[in-house]
Amino acid sequence: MRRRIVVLLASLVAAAGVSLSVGTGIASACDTNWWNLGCQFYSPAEGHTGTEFCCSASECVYSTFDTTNFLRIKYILTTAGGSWLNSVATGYATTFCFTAQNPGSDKVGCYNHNSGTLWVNCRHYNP
Amino acid sequence: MKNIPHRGPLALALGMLVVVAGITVGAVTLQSSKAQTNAPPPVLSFRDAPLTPELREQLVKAAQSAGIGVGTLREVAGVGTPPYRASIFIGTTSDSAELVALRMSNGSSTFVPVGAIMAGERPLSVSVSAQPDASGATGHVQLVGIAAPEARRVVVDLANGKQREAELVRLERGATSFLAFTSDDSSTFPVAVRALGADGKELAVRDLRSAIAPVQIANISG
Repeated sequence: MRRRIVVLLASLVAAAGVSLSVGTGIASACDTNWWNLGCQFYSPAEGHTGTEFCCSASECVYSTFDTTNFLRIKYILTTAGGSWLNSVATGYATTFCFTAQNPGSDKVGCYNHNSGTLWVNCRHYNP
Repeated sequence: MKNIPHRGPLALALGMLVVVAGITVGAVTLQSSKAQTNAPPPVLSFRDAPLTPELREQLVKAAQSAGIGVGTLREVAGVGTPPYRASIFIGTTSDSAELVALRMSNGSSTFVPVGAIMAGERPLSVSVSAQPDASGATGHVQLVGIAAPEARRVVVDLANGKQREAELVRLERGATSFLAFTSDDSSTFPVAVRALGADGKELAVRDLRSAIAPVQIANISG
């Protein structure tokens, strides 16, 4: 009985360690800088965008995401009001640069088009 | 005189030869033009690639930041007319590394090694772009793909249930193939892409239905 309790406690400690290390990895990958568009879990059909930065017609999106279940994330270009203008479904750690249709007001970001929740770290920048 | 009786059959034989040769030449010419029709799209120099000034500037910046000489840039597998064009740009760095950028519509990825794109996706990596029509439904789709050597054929499943063989463009260096596909007609939108091995066995399938679906704007913040 005592041996079982020891094994159980050891398992709990190991599991807690694994959880802590994964959590730390995700947290350290996130930042609160101006280029961050949403470093979080994205539910299906959830997206996060930001207005393009000054001063060129191009605006780039970059993301990393959990590839355990899905290999693609969708990058989007929308109007200031949120109307869909363009989208690109692409792979892990890809940078894709859109040409804005309304320079200075269009938004870019990431969108989860997959069937399940996905952890995404999405950023944008003006090239 | 004594040859005269033989001239008739000889002339007949020569005439038949001419006719047969004519038919052969005609058939070869026809085959050649058919092959040209189905031939992969040409490789274009960066100067000749159809680009908007904005996209040209963007690609130049991306190439320079990756250490690629702009003079080495080529557009391969290009199909469609801007702004609904799909292709892959290839450039060479000073240490002879080949990097690729995926071009879809009036945008492109940055330049990265083929190996980085194929990581975890071998033998087939597919990226797809979509834009709305006037009603907000998907109106235009562009697709680019990279196939590893073991993928001998790539087939595109269309929305109308038919299939289309992708034209694989292979450069002189390396065995990797590139492909591109565009459609502005919902019946021929690509809904899946399949890589097939030498024995016809299916090696990979990439489902594209959610990738080309309209973006539901109600769920976007920011």
